[in-house]
Amino acid sequence: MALTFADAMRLAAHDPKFAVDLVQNPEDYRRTFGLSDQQVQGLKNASLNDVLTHATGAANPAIYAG
Amino acid sequence: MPSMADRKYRGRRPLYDSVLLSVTERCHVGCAHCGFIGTRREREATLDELADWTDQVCRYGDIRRLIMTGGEPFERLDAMQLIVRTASGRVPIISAFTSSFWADSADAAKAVLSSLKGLNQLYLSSDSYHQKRVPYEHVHNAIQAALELGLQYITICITYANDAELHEVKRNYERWGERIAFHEDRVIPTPYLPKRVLQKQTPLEPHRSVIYGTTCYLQTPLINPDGDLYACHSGKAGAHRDIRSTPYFLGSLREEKFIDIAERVSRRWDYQFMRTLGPRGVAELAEDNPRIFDELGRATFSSPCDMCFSILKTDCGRETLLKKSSMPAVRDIINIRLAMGLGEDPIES
Repeated sequence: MALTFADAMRLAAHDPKFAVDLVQNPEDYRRTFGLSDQQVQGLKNASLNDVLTHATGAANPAIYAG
Repeated sequence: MPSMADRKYRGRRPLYDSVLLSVTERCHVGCAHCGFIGTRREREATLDELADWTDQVCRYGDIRRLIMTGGEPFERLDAMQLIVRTASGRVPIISAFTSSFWADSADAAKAVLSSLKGLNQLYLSSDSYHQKRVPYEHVHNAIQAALELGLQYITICITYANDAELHEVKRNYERWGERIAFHEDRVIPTPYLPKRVLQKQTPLEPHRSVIYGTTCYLQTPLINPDGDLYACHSGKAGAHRDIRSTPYFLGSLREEKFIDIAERVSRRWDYQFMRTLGPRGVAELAEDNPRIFDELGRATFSSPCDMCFSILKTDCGRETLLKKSSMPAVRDIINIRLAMGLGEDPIES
């Protein structure tokens, strides 16, 4: 059965190195995962900095002044 | 540059940095800017419930910080002691918000903090509103006692209306230099606040999505004293009225376990839209559908939290969120961020 975008995402969730490569070189994976133009564009637009900020929780000082 | 090398695979278990546990909604201090003005503050958890919820949070895994909040958590010191005992050694940082009302002398401050062995962070609310009710000296006593007892992290939380107020408050803490940190937030305007508070405000920011980031406190869910679990501290507004129909509501710990709620809501597109696209994503909803501003009656905000909650409390805002998070291109972006940034399984359409 052909691999899909969801398979690429599951693999990315498991493997940070693959995740980084997928964001940086989405065209390389277009055929493997049957990525649409929209999905390739979505990966290209996904700023690695934004993604990494989520990964490290760097933007979350976890405070509420209440 | 942060690294993804240590990022773990999380399956359907959302990555939460911290959890806020509201110990009580009670507070006798009565500040003019308080978000609880106009509420009955009647929701309470039993000691057994608080111990159980704390245990569930500790078992969840990889939560770095448990934060006791309120109301004023020190109104229930027995509950705090139980929570600290339950969490000690199981989460790296145990924190508490407080007005420092209990630190009326150096000895009293030390005695209270000594009874909370395992607590290693204080968020001390200090601003022109608190200090009309609690002398600065009390906050100073709390800081000094915390330093003497070896608490590692002390943060002064300042809620301010304008820059002059902010600078005046900070001046009172100069002597501690870098041993303390500051967190600053503007007052969130609500219809319940007195006019004298709102009149002093620096003008609110006109709405532009580009000024907002994509991350916020959404990795820090809130447990209210009635067991309701919310996506973030905005859930405190549940003290005013039922906000279970908003996307912030995740479930009730009186009906489900923490982990079961978290895994269930991890499949909700609206929730994951908020978690992955953050305040900027919510701000863009109003640019997509300006009728949100008509329903809301304003288009200026004091902070990302003010903007986010204001938009998503409107029917129009919630409808726009559901519509946008059903779009295939948006779903792809949510899944990219879930999988790559957070190590979480994508949601299958």
